[in-house]
Amino acid sequence: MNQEADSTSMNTMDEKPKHLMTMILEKLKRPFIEFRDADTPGRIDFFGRIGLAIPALASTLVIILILTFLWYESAPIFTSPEGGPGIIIGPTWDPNRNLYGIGVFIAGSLACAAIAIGLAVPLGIGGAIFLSEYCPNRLRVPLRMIVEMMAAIPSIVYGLWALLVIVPFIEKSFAPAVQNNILFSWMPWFQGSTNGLSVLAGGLILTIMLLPTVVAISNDALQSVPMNLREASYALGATRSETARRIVMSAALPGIGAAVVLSLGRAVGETMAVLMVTGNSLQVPYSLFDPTYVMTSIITNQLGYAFIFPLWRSALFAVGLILLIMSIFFTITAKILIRWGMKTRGYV
Amino acid sequence: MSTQEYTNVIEVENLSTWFGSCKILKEISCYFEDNSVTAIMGPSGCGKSTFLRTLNRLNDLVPSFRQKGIVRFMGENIYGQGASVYDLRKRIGMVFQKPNPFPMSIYDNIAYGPKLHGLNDKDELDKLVEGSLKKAALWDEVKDELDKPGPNLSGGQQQRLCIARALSVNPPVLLMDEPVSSLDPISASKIEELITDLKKDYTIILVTHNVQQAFRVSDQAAFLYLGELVEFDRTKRILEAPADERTEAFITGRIG
Repeated sequence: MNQEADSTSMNTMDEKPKHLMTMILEKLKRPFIEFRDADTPGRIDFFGRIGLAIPALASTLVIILILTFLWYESAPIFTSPEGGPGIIIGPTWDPNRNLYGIGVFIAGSLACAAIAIGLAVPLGIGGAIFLSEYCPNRLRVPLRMIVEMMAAIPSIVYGLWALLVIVPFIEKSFAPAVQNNILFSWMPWFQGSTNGLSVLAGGLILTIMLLPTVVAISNDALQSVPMNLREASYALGATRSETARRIVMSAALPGIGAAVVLSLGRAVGETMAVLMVTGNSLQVPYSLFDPTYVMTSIITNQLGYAFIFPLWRSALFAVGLILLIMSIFFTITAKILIRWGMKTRGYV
Repeated sequence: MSTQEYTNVIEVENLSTWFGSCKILKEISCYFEDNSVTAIMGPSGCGKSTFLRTLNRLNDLVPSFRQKGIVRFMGENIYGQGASVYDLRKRIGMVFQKPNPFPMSIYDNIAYGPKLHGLNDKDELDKLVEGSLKKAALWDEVKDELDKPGPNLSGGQQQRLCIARALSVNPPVLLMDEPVSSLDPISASKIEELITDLKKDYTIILVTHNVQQAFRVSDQAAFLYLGELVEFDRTKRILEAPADERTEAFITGRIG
């Protein structure tokens, strides 16, 4: 492909400069000319290429369609005098008074996602290192199977479990324990009374849901580090843990980054389980025990009522749009970091 | 390790090893002199690599590995009680068959070993990196791009980087497991030259299945066949007048 591109650019250098449109047209025409000139196997190959290009282009097209559609639906709120771009940081959501500040949901989502990522990534990487570096083979296979099974549990089931276990645990054990302890009770993030439905409960259940993804993908990345790198490290007198930390983990870091990207997307996008345990109260969480409202929950809960109020409806679509933009932003940032990591390691 | 009286830097007595129930090495006894190059020759699968990996206890990583017999490094049994495997591996460097630079910069590749053993002074590390690269005859080629990733070098440069990495912790003994078999002839001859140079300061044990190479670089040679040490003598003597017919068959290319 590159060679073709080079030759066309060379041609344009030699001849008189062509108009951009003619160049694009020529590019578009080239496959058909190729097709006309090709023999039978060449033609079959042509159809094969087209056939494979369709699914590849389809995913791109879907993303563009979704973005357009979300923008189209949420445009009224961004252009109306009641809304405007300021709603992104607006702290009050009250459709009855035409106040559509969605900042509270963004704050709630980010808080939940931050807790989940902050817990799931170190725990998951730790688990993955144990599985790939320390665990005997006989134990690794069943453990991995269990971890992969965890990923297949429907999120509503996680939500039910969290409602019965995590929420009461926070209300009856965790909150009293930290609030009655002089060491922790002064900390601002442990203030306030709670009934257990809180940003912490959402973060914890998200952590549990993210763990299998982080463990499975990081473990794959760690196990694909060639054995001869480990041997080189041992041969220099390194211990097992030094090798695991400084060679294996460092070599697998781009792969571990991919695990973090996937879990980030899930952390901000997860709906049901979080909706069930965060309390769905319209306030910015200042303490771990405050209830909150996340972006996915507000859409799920209010879309039914909102459909006859154009502005309200549009505001909900705006939440969806911002959610999508946030995950795209996270993914691209992480990809850039991963790319840089691969460059410094000589993988690309 | 205490310093004991010893005549040869490594002495092997009646060494046998097993992987599971499969006996790989059969009662091997030999010794490696200070500042010499010893070639270990033999056809594929005769236990050359296993023997080499027994000397720095790298085989300990294989759960089914067992050994019997004595290996003395500087007079001390490396499989004896209280012998530190990490200290041993620090003092016996190893270069592998396939170049295996760490996926990090050239500088970090070499600084890894010294940092591991507690050297953190930036100036000393710089000096050590330069010294190791010079000893491995790689300094002139990479001195301006020490922050480039090691795996981006060419195959021959990578292998010299691995040699420099092994030299960075300044081991008296260097084990080389067919270090040139995956390289092109020019890179290979550079590394052979390097081996001859390094002989001044290091004891080198070189595994090879290439008779010409053994003849060019080594002082002593050992011929292994199916786990048995068939011959062990000066390289010249073995290659010019092999005492055993299996050695002769190998040298003349009938087995191997």
